[in-house]
Amino acid sequence: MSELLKCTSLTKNYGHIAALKNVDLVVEGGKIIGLLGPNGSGKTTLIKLINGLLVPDGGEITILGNKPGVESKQSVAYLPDNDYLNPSMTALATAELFADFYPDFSIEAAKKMFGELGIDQNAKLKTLSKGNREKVCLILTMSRKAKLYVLDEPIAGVDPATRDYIISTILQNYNKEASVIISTHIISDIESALDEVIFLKGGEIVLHKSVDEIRNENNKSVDELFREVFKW
Amino acid sequence: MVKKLLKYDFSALSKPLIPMYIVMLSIALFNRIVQFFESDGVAYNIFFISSTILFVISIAVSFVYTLAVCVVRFYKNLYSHQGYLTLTLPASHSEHILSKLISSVCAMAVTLLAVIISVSVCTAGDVFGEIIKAALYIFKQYFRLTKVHGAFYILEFILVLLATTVAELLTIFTSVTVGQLAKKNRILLAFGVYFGIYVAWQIIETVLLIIGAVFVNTDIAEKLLDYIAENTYQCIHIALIGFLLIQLAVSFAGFFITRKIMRTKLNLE
Repeated sequence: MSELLKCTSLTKNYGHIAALKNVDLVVEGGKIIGLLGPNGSGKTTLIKLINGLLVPDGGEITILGNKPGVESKQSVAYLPDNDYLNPSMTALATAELFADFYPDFSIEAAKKMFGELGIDQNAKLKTLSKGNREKVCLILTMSRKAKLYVLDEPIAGVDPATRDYIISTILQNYNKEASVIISTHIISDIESALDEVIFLKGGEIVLHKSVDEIRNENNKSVDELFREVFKW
Repeated sequence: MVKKLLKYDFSALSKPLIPMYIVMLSIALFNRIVQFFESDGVAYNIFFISSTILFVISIAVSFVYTLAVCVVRFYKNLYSHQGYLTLTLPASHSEHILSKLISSVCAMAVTLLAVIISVSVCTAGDVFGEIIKAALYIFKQYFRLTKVHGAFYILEFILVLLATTVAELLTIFTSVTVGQLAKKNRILLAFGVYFGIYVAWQIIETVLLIIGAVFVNTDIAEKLLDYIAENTYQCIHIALIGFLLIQLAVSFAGFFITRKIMRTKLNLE
């Protein structure tokens, strides 16, 4: 399997607070990986480092051999955990922007998903409901044929039906040779889709195993193991 | 990639600026229509003076508003939530800054053009003809006095104007970029940084003036004044090019500081 993401002794501090401590991680292609951990464990910091939105204080991070930069951004499809699109643009205009910048973006796929979800592609984003704006964000991310998908809390704050749709959208649309890193708190809903999980605690990786290994070795579901590891 | 970024920057800037141009031209047109009813009556004077004041205010506001729109676009597109998209597009930090800079300079130039058109509308007819005549006369006299130097002065002046606009924009971009390092009150910090830079310039200018004052009535000053009197044309070139170089140095410093902070200290909302 190809090495998509590699972190070597990756360290990031916010002042005196260590957000990530010497993280070593290798992510190969063709996997759906759950990046799990409580608030403040370093999930979003790791995701921002992958996307070049933060610079590490120590160690190295590479995506397909490239440090975060113009080349790596062509390979990574990123879904942030906030409302990041320009609210005065329409869904279609935003899709056209994605098509302009990302050669791997399929505007037909985006239009198809807009139609399936009943999203008015000519409506300005600010007129859409919060849930629909989140769906637009997901559609735009999943309409790319990227090498690595990084989804930060894609199922937080949505109703269970939408959650199911989001999970099925991810599973149906991601490039099968690519890997998907999904950061979430809601493990039970997504567990069945995961190949591997990474547990982050206090900026350190405390577990990186396949879901099958967890079930066989620990005789527990990922959700049960998570509750055990992160028990207060 | 800059071309693609520019496409979206121009589109975003045009939305708030086009209505402003329409308002400014409408005020100019109203002023011109009022002039058709010229009389000694009080009503005419009230209308004419009011619309003229309004037009002058609209010209002043147009430049401030254009600058504000450009700065808001820079901040929102790069450092607010929208930065999560903008800064993950496959473009370098230099390309992002360049795109914002070029689009802002173009916006200022279009505003200047809109002001010129508005003034032309206001003065259309006999007054406009007189202005053109006066301008031609001034230019004729100017070139008679300055000869070939005159053309170069105009070129140097345009370059200075452009470089000053670029330097001013990049100083503001740098201030905004430093401001985003704060957890709270980012806009306040940006204003503080800009004010700090302004004060630093004032101090430098004052120190230079004091140094200049020390040399007044000395042999050096006399020799310098004699040289300027003998080589006036060349000295004007030196002054303009010197000012141009200072603005370019400020621009380069602003560009590289902004890029460095974006690369290493990005702190999105």
